[in-house]
Amino acid sequence: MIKFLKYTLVFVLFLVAFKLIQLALVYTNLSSKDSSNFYGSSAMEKRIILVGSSNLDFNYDYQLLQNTFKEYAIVGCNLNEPSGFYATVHKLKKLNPKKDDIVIFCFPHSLYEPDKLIPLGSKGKKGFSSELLKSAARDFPLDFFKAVLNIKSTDTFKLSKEKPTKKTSGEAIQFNFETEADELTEFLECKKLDGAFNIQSTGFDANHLKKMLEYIENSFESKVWFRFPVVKESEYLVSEERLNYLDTHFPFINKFDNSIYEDQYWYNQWYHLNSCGRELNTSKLMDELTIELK
Amino acid sequence: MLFNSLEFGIFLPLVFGIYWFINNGKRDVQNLFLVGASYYFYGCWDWRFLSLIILSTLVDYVIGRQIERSNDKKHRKILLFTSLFVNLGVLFFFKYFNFFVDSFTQAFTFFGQNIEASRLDIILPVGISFYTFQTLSYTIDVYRKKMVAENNLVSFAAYVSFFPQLVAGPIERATNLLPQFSVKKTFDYELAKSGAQLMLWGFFKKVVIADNCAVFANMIFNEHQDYSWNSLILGALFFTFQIYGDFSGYSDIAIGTARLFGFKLMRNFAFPYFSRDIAEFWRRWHISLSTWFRDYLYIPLGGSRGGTSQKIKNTFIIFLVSGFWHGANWTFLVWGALNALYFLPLMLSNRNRNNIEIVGNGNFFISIVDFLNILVTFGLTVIAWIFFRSETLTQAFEILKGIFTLTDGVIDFNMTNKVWLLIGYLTFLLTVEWIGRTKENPIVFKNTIPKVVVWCFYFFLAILVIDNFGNSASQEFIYFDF
Repeated sequence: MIKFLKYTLVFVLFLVAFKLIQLALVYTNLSSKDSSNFYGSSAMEKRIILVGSSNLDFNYDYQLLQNTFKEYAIVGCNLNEPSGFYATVHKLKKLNPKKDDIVIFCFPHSLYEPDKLIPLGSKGKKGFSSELLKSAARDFPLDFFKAVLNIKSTDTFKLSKEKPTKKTSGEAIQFNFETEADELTEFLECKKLDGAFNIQSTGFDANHLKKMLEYIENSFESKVWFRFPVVKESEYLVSEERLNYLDTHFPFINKFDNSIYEDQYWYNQWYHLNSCGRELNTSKLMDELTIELK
Repeated sequence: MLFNSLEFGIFLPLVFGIYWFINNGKRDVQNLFLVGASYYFYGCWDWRFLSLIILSTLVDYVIGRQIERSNDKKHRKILLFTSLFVNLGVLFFFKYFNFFVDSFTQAFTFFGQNIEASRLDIILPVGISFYTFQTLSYTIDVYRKKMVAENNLVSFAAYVSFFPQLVAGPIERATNLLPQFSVKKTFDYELAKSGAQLMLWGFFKKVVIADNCAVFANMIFNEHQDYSWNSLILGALFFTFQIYGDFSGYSDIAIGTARLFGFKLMRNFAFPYFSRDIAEFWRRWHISLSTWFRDYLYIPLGGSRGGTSQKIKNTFIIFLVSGFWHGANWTFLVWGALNALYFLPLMLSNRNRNNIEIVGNGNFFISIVDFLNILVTFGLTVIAWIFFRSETLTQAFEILKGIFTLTDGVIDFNMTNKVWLLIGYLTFLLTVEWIGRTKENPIVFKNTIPKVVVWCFYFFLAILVIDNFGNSASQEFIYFDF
C-alpha cells in the first residue's frame, strides 16, 4: 500500500509542478494593453455602452451613433476575442455603469462558450492582470481551476514568448471615435479580403449561459441588453438549441435572422464587416435602439 | 457523478482512503461502506432513483433465497418469473413505455385512425439497463443452480450497486463478482497498479479521443443537410472513434477503479476495430453484454443448433434485442438488424469462428488479406454507427444518401489545427493499441523498457488528459443513456 501511495503521490506531484510552471509562464504574460482604451465619448451623463470584442472596431460607427442619440454618450468597450468573457466584463467595470446607463453586450458567438470564460491559455489575449486573475478566481473558482488545467501544453512555449508590450495598469481611461478599422484603406473601400468567414460554434451549455447572465445582472445596476452578432450568410453554424435558449432567456434587442449579412459586407474574418457592412449594422442598431428607447 | 469530473477526483481518493485505512480490512464494514459510497455516487444524479436500485436489490435478494430453498420446479419458475417481471417491468416502464405509445399512435395514424394516447412525463434513470441485467443474471444463475443464493444482504447490495460499474457496466455476472464480496479484502499492489494503468488509458480514450471527436461528430450530424459527402464520412468516422473512446474508456476506468478496491471485473473491450469480420467484432465489442445475451437468451433459444431458419431467427432476435436494449428508438433496431445482416452470411457458411486468435498473432505487419478484411469490417461498422448516432431513421438515410450520391454541401468542413491535432491523437491511439493488442492494456510495457521511459510516457498521457479536461465538449458518457 505504501509503495502504491508513494508512486501515486510522486506522479501527482510531478503533474502539479508541471501545471504550476505553465501557470507561471502565463502569469508573466499578463498584457493589460487595451484595457484603458474605449471608443466614443464620455461627454454625457447617460451612456449607451456597447461591449464586445474586435467586432466593435469593425461593425459600429460611433460618430454616427453619437449624432443620432444625442442624449447619451456612446461608448464602445472591447477587448480582442481571445481575451474572453471575464476580461471583457472586467474592463467594462472600469466604466462603472450606473442605473441610467444602457449596456449592450454584442459578443461574437464564441464568447457564449465555456472555453471563453477565463481563457488563461489563450494566445494573444489582452487586458489580463494579476488583479483580474484574483478576481476571476474569486468569482468563478471552479472555472478558474479548470482554466488552469486547460492551459494546453502545446501552447505553453508560445504563451511564454508572448510578453506584454507595455504595462498600462493605472493609466487614465481614454475615449476615441476612431477605431483601428478607420486606419485600414481596404476596409474603408468596402473590400473583402481573404480570411476565415465560417463560424462553427455549436457548443451549448445551458448552465454556463445561465451563469453568465446571472453574473452580468448581478454585476451592473444599469439596464442590460444583448445583441446577436453579425454572421455571414451560408457560412454560419450555431447550435439551434443555443440560439433558442439565448432568444428566450437573454434580453436580446435584435433577432438572429436579422444579423445575417451578405458576402459584400464582409472584411477579413467571421465577425468583421467592412465599412459598408458597418454602415448597415449601425443603422440596424439605431432602429433597434429607437424602438427600445421609446 | 462523472468519472471525468472534479467531483470524482475528490470522491475516489476519499473512498479509497476510508475503504483501506479506516475499515482495516473488515469485510462487512468494507462492503457496507461500499454500498454507502455507491448510493452517494448514484444519488449525485438523482437520489430519487436510488429507490429503484434498492427495490431491485431487495426483490432479487429475497427471490434468490426463496428459489434456493424451494425444490418445487413450478414454484421456482414462478419465483424466477416474478423477478423477471419486476425487473423488466421497471425497465419497460421507464425506458420503453413512451416508445410503444408513440409507435402505436403512429401506426394508427398511418392507417387513417387518429387515437389519443398519453405519454408519461418521466426521465430515464441512469444505468437502469445495466444494473437490471446484472441482477437478472443473479436470479437466473440461482434458478439454474449455477450458484448458491447470497445470504448476506450487504454483500448482495454491494454487488448490485458497486459504483465503478453501476451506471455503464461492464455488466457483471453474479458468478464472477458476487463471491468477491464474500472475501476479506487485502490490498494487492500489483492489482492496484494495473488498475491505475487501465484508468490512465481509459481517461485518455474518454477525455482526449471521445470528447474531441464529439465536437466534430455533433457538428456534422446535427447539421448534416449542410455538409458535403466527404464531410459526412468524416462525421461518421469521428463518431466511430467517439463511441469507442467513450465506452471502452468508461469500461477501462470502471475496471481500473474496481481493481483499486481489490475487485476484478470482466473485460469489456478487446480492440474491436482490429476485427477481421463482424463475428470477431462482436466478440471484442461490449463483451459483457454480448456474452450476457449469449448465455441468457441466445443459448436458451437454441443458439446455432437446428435448421437454417432457426439460426436466422435466433440471430435476428439476439441482434434486435441488443439494438432495443440500447434505446427505445427505431434507429437502434435498424442498427441491430444491420449487424444481424452482416453476421448471418458468416454464420450460415460456418465462418463465424474463423478469426478467433489475435490478428497477425500480434506481429506489427499483417497479411494484405487480413488488412483488407479489417478495413471492410471497419467500413461496415461505420455504416451501422450512422444509424446508432442519428436521431431518426430519416436523418440516417439522408446521411447515407449524401455519402453515396457524393452530395455537395453548402458548408465546407474546416480542417482547422484542432482537427489535425485530433487526427494526430487518433493515429497515436491506433498505433499504441495496434502494438499492444496482445495485452489487456496496451500501455503496460515489458520490463525490458527502462522505467524512466515508461514513466515519461504515462506522464505524457496524463498531461494530454489534463490539457483536454474540462473542454466545453466534455460531456456525459454516451452509454449512461442506455
